[in-house]
Amino acid sequence: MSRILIVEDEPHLLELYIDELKEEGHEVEGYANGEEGLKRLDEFAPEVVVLDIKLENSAGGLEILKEVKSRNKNTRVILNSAYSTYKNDFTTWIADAYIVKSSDLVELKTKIKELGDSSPLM
Amino acid sequence: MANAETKNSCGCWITDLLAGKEDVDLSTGKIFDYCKGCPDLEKLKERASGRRTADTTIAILIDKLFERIHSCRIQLVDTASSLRKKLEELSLLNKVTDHLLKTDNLERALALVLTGVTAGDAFGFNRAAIFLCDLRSNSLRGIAGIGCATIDEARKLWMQFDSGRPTFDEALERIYNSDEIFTDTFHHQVWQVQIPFEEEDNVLMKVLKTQEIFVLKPGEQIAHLCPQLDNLADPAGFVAVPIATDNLDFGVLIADNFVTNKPVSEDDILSLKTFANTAATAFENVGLHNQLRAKLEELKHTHDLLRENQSYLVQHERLADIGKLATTVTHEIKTPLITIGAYTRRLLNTFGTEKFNKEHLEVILHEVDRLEKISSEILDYSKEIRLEITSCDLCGIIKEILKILGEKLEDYKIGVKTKFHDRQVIIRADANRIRQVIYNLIQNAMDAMMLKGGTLTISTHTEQNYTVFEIEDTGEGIKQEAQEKLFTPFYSTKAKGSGLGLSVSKKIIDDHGGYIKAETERGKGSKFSVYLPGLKSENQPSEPKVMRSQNE
Repeated sequence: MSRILIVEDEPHLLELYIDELKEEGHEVEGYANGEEGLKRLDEFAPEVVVLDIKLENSAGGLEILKEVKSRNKNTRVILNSAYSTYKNDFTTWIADAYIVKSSDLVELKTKIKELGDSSPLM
Repeated sequence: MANAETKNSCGCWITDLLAGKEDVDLSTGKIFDYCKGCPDLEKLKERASGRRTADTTIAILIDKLFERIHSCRIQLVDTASSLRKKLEELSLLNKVTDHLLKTDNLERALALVLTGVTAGDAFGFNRAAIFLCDLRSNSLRGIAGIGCATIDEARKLWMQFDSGRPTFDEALERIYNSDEIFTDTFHHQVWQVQIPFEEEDNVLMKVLKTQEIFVLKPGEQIAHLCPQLDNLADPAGFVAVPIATDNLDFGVLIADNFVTNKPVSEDDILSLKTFANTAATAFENVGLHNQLRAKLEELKHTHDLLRENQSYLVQHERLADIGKLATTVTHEIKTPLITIGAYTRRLLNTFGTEKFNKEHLEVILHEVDRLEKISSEILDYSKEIRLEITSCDLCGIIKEILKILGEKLEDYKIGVKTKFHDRQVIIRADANRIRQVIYNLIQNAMDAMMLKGGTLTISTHTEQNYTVFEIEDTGEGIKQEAQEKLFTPFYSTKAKGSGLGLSVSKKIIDDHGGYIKAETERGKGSKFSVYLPGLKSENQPSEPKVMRSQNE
């Protein structure tokens, strides 16, 4: 079980992620914009951060990714985007995983479990 | 002249003068012909000599005056006739020039010049021929000739025309109305003549080089001067003039009077020279005209090409715009779709135990999945693909896909045949992308055989520098109108397709530097062949750079 921080600007999707991941037994916090998420980062100290890339009214997921990794390179980051385009942006390379957003959460859950279990922060 | 005998009744000026008539007309030359030795004039002279010395002198003076006037008159008649001839020549030259300026055809220009030289109504040489420089064979070559090869032939021909010989206008009609202008035996003989540029002693080469007119002098042998002309020029006299403009030497024009044996006069030579100059200008015009026409053709071709490219660009630009719009719209749709789908799944997990709920939720989920898949395809298509090239086994990829689709293939009653040319077929490619292409092509093949079943044949082989894989079905085949649009984005014949499958596949193969080919026969099936460049064995993996260069 891991501490998971989610940044996702679709409120309903965010709510669903939180619910589903809590049901999996994780400790979850979710935010609709990057700045709020970053504020909680040090205190909450998540093992896995799930970031949407395109965020409205906020710094983009890639900016947050850089900030998260510069604060603690051991924090696992999953990029979760509707586009597969960003795979070609070099910044995405520092993320631990890239998932094309889907209504099926199996891939996301599997990735979270895999990265959470291997986290050196535990 | 009939008036000479009846001069007293004809209004002789002397009688009139003696009678004291004042308006005596002295302008007509006729008067003087019979006044010389006229008894009235003698009477006048006698009358004068009997009187005063002065009168005698006047009488002698008048006598001398008549002598002078008479000789002047003869000269005048000569000059007038030569002027008339010149005028005829000039008017002919004018006619020829007129026609020459209008022609852009070398054959016609040649015919006009030769006809001008030989037509009966001007200086009318019996025959003439033109030799032009041919830079390809480095020689002066016989191009055209008008006239008769033998005297008999000439007589026969001239019998046909009113004036004995064809006039310019008659000949002109022939030039414009016959398909083949040069049919004479003489022409064909001229056509055979070829004088290499090296034959510097040859008289025609001399004319060409020195630009001086040549006239055969009595006693000279043509065979010595130009062996090639031995039977083509009159040994009694022929003339050769250069055809040239300030810029270019074209060749030589020759003419003779072998039928009539009329001597070639200085005037004839000068006229011929004028003709040759006109001919040179005309030939230059024809040349320029042809160059212009070629340039025009070239321009037209370039213009067509440009227009084609432009319409291609416009089309692409439009497609790019549509693509951008599609991407934006699709993204906007995809996000809520994910939310809908994710919640439906959650509902299914929570309330799915009840059969009724389960079925309804599954319908929603199925439709959402379909929409999600289409939107992913659209987003995939509009983005640039960066290939991750590795060495991978094509057979492995194909087998893997067939395994996944195995159950479905069985359901559709589709038999599978694989024909691999080797146990492993190693390619340098982006395995995921190639998998996507193969999956798509097999999916299409299955759709084509969905109703009746059939056989799916997947084979590989090598062709020149390409590794080829072919996916063949025994389905319906593709309709004629669909064939052209097969790879066009958003074009689909399927009720549920996005119309992107084949265009994405094509794009992926294009990006690999390869190409995709479709063959189809209605009712018999379709075959898609994919050509991937860089036939490499595993021990010699090629660098992506090599692929790139083949791509270009």
